[in-house]
Amino acid sequence: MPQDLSLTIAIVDESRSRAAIIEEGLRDAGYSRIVHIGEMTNLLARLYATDPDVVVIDLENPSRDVLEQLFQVSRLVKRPVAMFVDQSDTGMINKAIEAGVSAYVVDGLKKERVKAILDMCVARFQAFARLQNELDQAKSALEERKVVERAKGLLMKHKGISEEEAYAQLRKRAMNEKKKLGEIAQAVVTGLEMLG
Amino acid sequence: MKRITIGFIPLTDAAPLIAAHERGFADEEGLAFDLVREVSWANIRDKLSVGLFDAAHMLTPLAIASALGIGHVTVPLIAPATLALNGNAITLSAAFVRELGGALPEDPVAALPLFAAAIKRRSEAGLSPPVFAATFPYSTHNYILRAYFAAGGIDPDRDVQLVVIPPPLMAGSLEKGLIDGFCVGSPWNSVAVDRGAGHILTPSSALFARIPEKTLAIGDTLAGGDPDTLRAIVAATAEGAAWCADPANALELAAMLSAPHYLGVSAPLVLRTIEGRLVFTPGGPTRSVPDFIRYDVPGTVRPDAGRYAWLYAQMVRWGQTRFDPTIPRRIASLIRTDIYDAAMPGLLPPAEADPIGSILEPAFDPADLAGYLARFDERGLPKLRA
Repeated sequence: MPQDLSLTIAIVDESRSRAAIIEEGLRDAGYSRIVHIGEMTNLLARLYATDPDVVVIDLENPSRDVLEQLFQVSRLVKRPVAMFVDQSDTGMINKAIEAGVSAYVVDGLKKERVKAILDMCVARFQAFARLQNELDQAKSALEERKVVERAKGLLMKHKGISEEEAYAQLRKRAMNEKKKLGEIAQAVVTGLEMLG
Repeated sequence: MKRITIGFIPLTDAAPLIAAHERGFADEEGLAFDLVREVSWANIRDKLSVGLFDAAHMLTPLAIASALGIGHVTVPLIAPATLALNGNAITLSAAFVRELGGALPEDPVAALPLFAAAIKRRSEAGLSPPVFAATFPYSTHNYILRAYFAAGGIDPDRDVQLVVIPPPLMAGSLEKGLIDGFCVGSPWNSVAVDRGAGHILTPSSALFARIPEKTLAIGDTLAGGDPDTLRAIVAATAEGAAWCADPANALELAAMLSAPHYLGVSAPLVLRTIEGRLVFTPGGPTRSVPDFIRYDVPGTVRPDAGRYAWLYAQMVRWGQTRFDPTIPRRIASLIRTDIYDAAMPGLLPPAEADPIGSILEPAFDPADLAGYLARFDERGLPKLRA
């Protein structure tokens, strides 16, 4: 329905990259009026200025409590606000909470419509978590390579051995001590750097 | 060993649960407390609601509102133990203290005419009214600020602006000039003073002697479960609270709470708040505030229906809900003193003629909620006596 696609959706998230991923998903679904609020100071004033129909917020954001105030002051703003939960939606809330997202919507908005938005956000939050995880893994792999290079260099300098020999020594120690190569390399770096 | 997942917010009044875990009281009861630090009261409520938490450290008004379905969906829960009485303070920005005349009187009531004058000056100059923050709409902080202003004839909905800000962001908001003052729990007032951002106007205990600040809320799944587990949770919590209340343990408690995974605030600062030694102005002397925060058993921990009824009356007074005379009965079944009495047999608190003990209001009679509410007009302000 075209009128549904004209909903204004505010994404309250301090993570620019996650907000971008959610926004992309919403745009793909045909929503065009999307506002990202990344600054938490004076959130209520920013929300009044945006006047959204739906607010999507990350569960790790302490400003959720600020949104709760919308219930209290809703008689002062143009439209009443309610949270998109009711007793019949426990499964849905559970899914959203596990994914780390919550949504607040303007009263009177079709629940089915908001459910589709929240479903999309849940999927996007999970996608972001996966990406983050992969990024962390890639980062730690890179760190490990760096520290192994450094350990090799130090061993070559201190023991006067070749690069292959230095690497072989690190690998052997790692196997003997049943530790990761990175851990052994870090220990070598720490030890040899103290010698100067 | 039965695992109990409990959500908490980094505040000094989560101490009974933390002590129950750290000092082995939960263990002695055959329980493993799994404490999960949370960032918002909304998360605490929702995770308790869907069963991700078995129990939670909860604002007492939020527990009452959730159980009764006021302002939100109904969250089935019981509140068989109070975690702490008092512990809040009202803090003002240095700039606003200057606006009030530069120095704050020791008697908070004497400061009310200064507020009224400052509000009038702002209004006459065409400036916006001063902004004060509480931590949640259903919080003692909201009601304390409102009752305090109302006692000075200041309409909290018109003469000032009340906003919600999470506790760890309070001091920063004061520094940035976004708000003029706030009411929040320990240790965040002292954090603001130590950062040079704020001056404590008054500890809440000077206005209301016995406000049940936080509650142990137990969710539906456990509440409907076996009575032995419920008794064990309350016993472990009460033992934890009694340990926190012993001055001999203050140093250890402060060190425990200051850990990064609990409050993440310096131990000497936490110690000051536990011992009721408050610094009111940056660099100023320490003042003794007896009963600043109370954990004692049974005076604090055994839930008092009258104190909870007063909080419900505040929801009605400030238009959050309409008065329902059947509520006091429902509150009595919500607090489940039977569980406390099974956990701590024979430990009954002294009877209090006035469960709240406020200097701002006449004695509170829980048996006459309608009479109490009749003292206020539709804006919640005290009616002038004819």
